[in-house]
Order: sequence, then structure tokens, then C-alpha cells
Amino acid sequence: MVLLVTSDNEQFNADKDVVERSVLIKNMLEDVGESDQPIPLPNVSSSVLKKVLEYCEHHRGEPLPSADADQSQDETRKRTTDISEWDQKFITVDQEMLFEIILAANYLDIKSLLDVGCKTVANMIKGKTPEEIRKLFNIVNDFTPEEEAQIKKENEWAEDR
Amino acid sequence: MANVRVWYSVNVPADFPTYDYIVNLCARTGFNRNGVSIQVAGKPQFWVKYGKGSVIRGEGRTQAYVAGIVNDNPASVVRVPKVHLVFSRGKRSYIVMDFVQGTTLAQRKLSKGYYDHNDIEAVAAAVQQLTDIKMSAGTAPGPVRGGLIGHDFFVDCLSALKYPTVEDLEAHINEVLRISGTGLRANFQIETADGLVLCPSDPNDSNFMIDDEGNIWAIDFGRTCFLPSSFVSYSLTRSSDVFVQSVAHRVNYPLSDNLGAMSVASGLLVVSNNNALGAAVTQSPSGSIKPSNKQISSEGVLHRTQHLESVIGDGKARKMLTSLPEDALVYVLSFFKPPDILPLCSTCKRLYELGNLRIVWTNAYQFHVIARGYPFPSINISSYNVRDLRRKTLSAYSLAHRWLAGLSSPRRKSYISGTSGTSVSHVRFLPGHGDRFLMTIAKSIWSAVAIWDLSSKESRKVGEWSPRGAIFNGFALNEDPDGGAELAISVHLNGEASVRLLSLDESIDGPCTFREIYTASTMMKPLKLVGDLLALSDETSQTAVWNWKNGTYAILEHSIEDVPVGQSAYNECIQVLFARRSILVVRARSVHLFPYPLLKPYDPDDPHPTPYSPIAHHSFGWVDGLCVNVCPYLDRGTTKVSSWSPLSILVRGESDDPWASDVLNLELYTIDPNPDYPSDDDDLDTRIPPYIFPPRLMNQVRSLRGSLRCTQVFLGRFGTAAWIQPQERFFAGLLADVPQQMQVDRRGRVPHESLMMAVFPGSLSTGEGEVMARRVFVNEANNWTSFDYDEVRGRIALGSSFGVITLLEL
Repeated sequence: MVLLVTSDNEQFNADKDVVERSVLIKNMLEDVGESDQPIPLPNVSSSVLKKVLEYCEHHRGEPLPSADADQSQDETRKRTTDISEWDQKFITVDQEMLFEIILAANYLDIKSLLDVGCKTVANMIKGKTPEEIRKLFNIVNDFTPEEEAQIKKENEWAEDR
Repeated sequence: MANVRVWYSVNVPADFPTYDYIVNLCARTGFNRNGVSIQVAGKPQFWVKYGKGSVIRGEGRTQAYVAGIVNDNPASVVRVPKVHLVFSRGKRSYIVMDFVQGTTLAQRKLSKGYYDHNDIEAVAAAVQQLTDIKMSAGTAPGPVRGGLIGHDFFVDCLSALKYPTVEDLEAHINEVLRISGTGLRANFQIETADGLVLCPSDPNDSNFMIDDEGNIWAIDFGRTCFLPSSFVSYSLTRSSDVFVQSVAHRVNYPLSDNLGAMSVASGLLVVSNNNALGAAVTQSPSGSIKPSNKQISSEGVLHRTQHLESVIGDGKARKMLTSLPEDALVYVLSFFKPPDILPLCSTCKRLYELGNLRIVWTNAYQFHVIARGYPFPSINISSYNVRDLRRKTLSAYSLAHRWLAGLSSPRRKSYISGTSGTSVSHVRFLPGHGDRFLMTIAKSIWSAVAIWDLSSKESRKVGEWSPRGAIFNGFALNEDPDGGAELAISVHLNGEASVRLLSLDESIDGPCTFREIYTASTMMKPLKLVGDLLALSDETSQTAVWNWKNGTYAILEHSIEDVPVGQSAYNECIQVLFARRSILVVRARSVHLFPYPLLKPYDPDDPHPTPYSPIAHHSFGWVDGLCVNVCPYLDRGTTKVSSWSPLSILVRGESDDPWASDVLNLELYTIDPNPDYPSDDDDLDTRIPPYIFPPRLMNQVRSLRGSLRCTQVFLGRFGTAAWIQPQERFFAGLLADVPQQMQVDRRGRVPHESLMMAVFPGSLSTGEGEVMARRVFVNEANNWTSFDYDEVRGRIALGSSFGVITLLEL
């Protein structure tokens, strides 16, 4: 068992083969060797770590992507946005949690979880206009009208092959 | 006709077009558009809208119903094209309605530059009248007689479920709200007590038309359903479209109390990307709600979404998309379809900066264009700046998607007519130079090469090369734009034949000049020029491979002893392809594979070195046109056996038999790599061919035979093909003097030569069913002489005997 400590000082016990789906934790364990020392995760809160561990638990035992997966796996290379049924249920969360998960997966280096998060964002944004995206993600439009007109022109040029 | 199902039909006259005719017309038009007109006596009479079966079917019934109500009412302020027939065949359905002669509001805005105040008022009045149309309480929400609901409440504006009653719809929305944990509830009971209202959920400027008499027409019922009035309120209050907003201000509709709840529910459907969210456990009041197979059990969702407060728009979220660090954002963006990147990067300054990062567009290019086998110029992208890379990536992606959607007509066309009427014998896009040059060869008293600049609106001639009295016999353009010589051309002048190597000197905004950099005396014609390497052929059996810079060369020759007595040995060379350690020489009636030769300098002691003999050969008989290419992305039904790609050959057989059938198939062959060929570089046995002969027939596409000046066929690297189909004999012969008012006769035939295109199964076609030829462009003058197809840029140039050049963009 491995002891993890979150940013809000909660402790989590988890099996080694579960937490080792995180390349960051795996490397840490290899560096420190066998020890009872807790591993601090100052960038991850307890609510997020709970979700992340749920994911790792479910995918326990699946082969980890190799370092050159980008080149070898067709699916990864083509950046499809298909998400398996379990993952889809798992990622049906509010936006704040979605981005927390993406951040945590990026920090903990859990590529498959990061991909699920990114695919979800890509699916949400599909075919939307800038205004719809602002509404969806609460983005504040900080352009002046002149800048906005300029960007619109640039985009028209770029899209006109 | 079998398997036609008629969903609506009223007073269809006896001379109405047949199902076959309608279906074929739509298939020819292509399924990337949603409509086509049918002409009667030279005038468009009907409009056929077609698309996915169930959706179109419901739309057709709704339109028919609404047309019946508004068109019979003399006080109507809106009209609806009368529906004659709704039917399906296979997975597609078709609505045949009256053709309306008029312009959409979008077109009117385009010509004026702004929306006319009166137009908006008129559309508002129309929407008002439409939303006053009711269906009795107890009918199923959705199109007339039930179906999937088209409304912007749902992801992609289409529900995943059919709801037999309003209660079922309400129960499902409330289940989604329960998952959201907000405590909000929707209630449609009161507002539907006296029935459902018609909800035109997308009253945008393309969905209304004004005819020549000033009448307003509602022409699109795709997202128009009978729903609780809250849905009208939802659509009209939430649209971000300027036109819809202006219309909505002028429409009188009750503001719904359900808007907050509906926003949250819709938001959660978007986040989960699932229109059936929670449906599996929804207690269906009518007991017959049908969940789709995409359902998500709410059990799994509930305990993870306790902290879900409000899904969108409440402004409270601490972690947002924009709080991700740059590296994570770049990675997130790598999953975006390229066209979705620009809208995201136009929302705020931080994301705009992100969209200017080279890595974002290198990823888009790598993951969404190259990895998918979409056409892209084979050049090193480091020569592009970010702006150009962005533009080329977007254009490659959208061209590929036009192919995948069934591309069947050019997006743009233009003409060059500066050749002063001289017949153009060859037309070619010039590689390099920012893709802006087109080359033509024309002959009046003597031959002339001309260069045209396509970059400005009016294409103009920027260079010409025409030695007095010279006749050109053949040419090759350098495929490697950095090569020193750009054009090798065979010239007959004063009784002497030679090949000249020319380079093109460009001056900024000024004329271009051809400079002769080398001349060699030979009767052979240049066929291929790559860098300094030139392949030339005679008209029977010899091919020379020559490095013109260092003078080394080799001769390839096949034996012509087997030509039967009395037949000519004439066997013109069509193409030379540098393949895997070999050279493929394609002639009018033979294909020979030669080992890649060792090039040697001229040796005075051995002025005629032994020519290389072929290691494999095949004959397709006499062919009219043939094109060979390496097409790595075609589906071949076999697993890859080698590190090098197969060769693909597209063959148009000869058509010298006047009594043969009209049909002529173009055949696609593949020449597979030979697994026995040594992969080790040192282990060279020149007698083992690197490919397996004979070629294997892989696919075919139907065309017609007939007399034709331009018999070229093109097969692109990405599996698309182009050729000219002759005018049909039926028209050219018996009925040649009948006025050609009708573009298409009842059997779908066109009395003119046409540019045909097809895409073979591979990265640009999912490959279901037969490969169909598409009529992309029709030439009423029947005078095409030559054409060129630039697959990766989606361009076609057609030269004619009148000198006019047609440019098409796909």
C-alpha cells in the first residue's frame, strides 16, 4: 500500500499497482525505494484525488502506454474523440471538476485520463461559435471591438483555404 | 420500384418524375448538399430536399401539415412550399416540394450589406403566425406523427429519443435535473393543457425567402416541431444569432418559467455529450419511452455529481478552461478538429495567443491531416510560417471532409480567356512558386508556352516562350520545385529535334522569363523531370534516364520482336514512374518494370552500352488513358507486407469498337510489393522484381465510351480520380438538333462532355458500396482538349480548343 497526502491534508491509502498508473508517482516510488513515507501531492485536492483513484482503480492492470505511444498507436495518432462507456460516465462531471481532473492528470502524468478529459472538452466545443464557447466556458471577452473585427478578418482569411 | 416507402403523397400528377429519377438525381448531385431542383420545360419546378431517413421524414410531414394550414388561409403572412411527396429509399428520405423562385434573407443581406428593416418585420410576422399553429393536447412532441425532436435544447439539435407524450419528455428532463443536483424542475403541464405549439427553433436568415412578389416563405422545417411553448421561449431568448435576436424582439411569446431548468438540463446534456442521459432509469409515464443504445445509467453518475451546482453560466467555477497551464491547453487543443480551434482562440486574448503558437498547428497538421491520410502537399512544413501552416492545415482538413461528405461540384469556378482564341493543347499547374502559376501550351502558326499568374482576381499572362517557327512535341515539369531546370521540352525547329531545359526567372510583380540552360539533340520526348534527373522516351521501346547536370545516363529497352507482322510498333509512352529501386515505364499498350539502372558517363569506347531489360511486364491491351501512382492510403483488403507502398494504376480502355455498349468501366489495378524482394540494401539481385506482376484488379468505376479529344485520366496519391466523359451518343446522334433546353433528360443523361471524379475506398471514402462517378462539371461547348488535376490543393484546370481555360476549385 502507498500513502498519499493531498493539498488539503487528507491521507489516502491505495494499492501500488493502482497509484503506479501515474508516471509521476511511479517514478517517485522508484526513487525513494520501499518506505512508509507518505507521498505529498501538493497540487491535488482530496475531492480530485478521490476521482483520480477511482479511475486508476477501474483501469488497474491495463497495459500502460509506452513512451513512444504517440508514434505506434493509431488511435492516439489520429486523435479520435471516442470515449469508452465507463470513461464517459466517469467524466460526466461539472466543468470545475473536469478541469481539475485534466490538471491533475497532467501533473500526475496519467496519459489515458488526460486524454479522456481532453476528448470531453473537444466534444463539448464541436461546431460552436466563439460566443457559444464563451457562454459554455464562462470566458470573458477581453477584446476591443476593433480587435474582434481584426480577428474575424484573420479567421476568414485562414478558413478561405 | 422495390423498397420505396411513401410517407406522404397528395395529388401526384401522372407525369411526375419517377422515384428512380429523383433518387438518381440526388445521388448525382451528391449527399453533401441537401437539395436539388427538378426542371420541367427548362424551368425549375420542384425542389427535392434529402437526407437521413427518419429526420427528413418527420420534417416532410410537418412541412406538409403546416403548408396545408397557412397556404389555404387568405390572411396568411407566410407561405410554405407545398409538399407533393415524401418517401424513403434505403437510409435516405426525400421531400419533393414546389420550387420557390426567390432569394433568402441571407442572400438579400449579402447584396445589400445589411438586413432590411422591413424584411425583419416580415419574418417576425411569419414566425408569429407559425408559433400560433397548434396541435391538440395529447399528441407526441416532435414532428407531425412523432419522431426525434429537432431543437437546440438537445446536443447537435436532435434528440436521441422519441417521446410518446409530453409527460415522457418532462420526466426525462427532470431526471437530468435530478442528476444535476440543482433542485430545479421543469413543468410543462399548464402550458400544454390546450395543446402543443409549432416551434420554429432556428428562424435564421437562410430559412426564410422572399419571392418576386414580395411574399415571405418559410422554407426549412428541419428544426421545426410541435412542442410545449417553453421551447419557443427557449429558442428565441437564447439565440446568439443577430438576425434571430432581431426577429425574436418583434415576436410576441410568453416568457417561460422553465428557462432556468431547461438551461441547466441542456448544459448537462452538452457536458455529457449524451442526449439520453438518465433516460435508462426514467420512469416513463406512458411506459413506452425508448432509450437509445447510448444511454448512461444515472446510478453511475449520481454519486459523482453531488457537487454539481450549476453547469453553465453561473460564473462561480474556480477552475476554468483558461486556468489550465499552457502545456495542458496545447495538449487539449491537439484533440480539437482543426476548424474548432479558431472559434476557441477567438474568445479571449489568452486563447488568441495560444492560437498563434506553431505547436498548436503542427499538432493539428500531424494528428488531424497527416495521420488521417488527408491530402497535403508533400513538402517540409518548416518552410511555412504559422499563418500559412494554419491556413493550409484548415484547407486540407476541409477539403478532405468535403470528399468524405460526397463532394460532387466545384466550390468556385473562373475562366482565363486571354489566349486570343488559340486552341490550348496542354494545361498544367506549375509546381512551386507559391502554387500561383499555370502553364499552357498552345499552337497557332508555331508553338508557345505561356505562364499565367492565378493569384490575383483576374488571372493574367506573366511570361511566354515561343522560339520563332518551333513546334513542341512533349514536355515534363520538374516535380521538385527547387530543381535548377523547371521545364524540359521537346522542340522541333528547322528540321532538328532537341530537348531544351528551361528555368523560370520570376520578378516581383513583373513578368517571368524563361531561360534556356541546356540543350540536347535527341528525338526522344521528356516524360519526367525530378531534380536533375530526366526520363525521356521514344515512341516504341526505348527510355533514357539522364542526369543532365553531370551527363551520366542509362538506357532501358524492351524487346519489340513480338509485334505481329503488319502491325505498327508504335507504342507511345504515357508515363514514367520512379518506383522502389525500379522504374515503371507505361506505354499505350504495355507496362514494363525495369531495374533502377546505374547511371554512367558517356564512354567513347563503348558508345552504345547494353540497355537494361525489363524484369516484369504486363499489357492492358490498347488503352486510351492510364495513370499510375503510389497511393498509400487506399484500402486494399490485404495487410501491409512491405515497407514500401503498392503501385496503383487507373486504366481507361480503348473505345474503337463503334458497336460496343455505351458503358466503359475505368479499372483500378494494384501492383503489390513483392515480399520475396530483399529488404537489405546490400543484397541487390536485379532479377527479382520488387513488385508482383500481373497487376491485380481492385475496383472499377462506371463511365461511358464515346469520341473524345482529351482522354487523360488522373489518379491522385490520396485515391481520388478525374477524367472526362464524352457526350452521350444518344444526344450527339439522333437528337442532336433538338433544342438543348433540358440540362438533364428523364433518364438522367447529359448531352455534353463532363468532368467526372471518383474517390476510391481509403482515407477519403469509407468505401461502402460501389464507387460512383460524380459529374463535377459540364462543358456545353464539348471542346476540352487537356486538363490537369492538383489533388492536394483541390484544383482543376481545363483547356479548350477555343482557348478558354476553366479553373475549378473543389
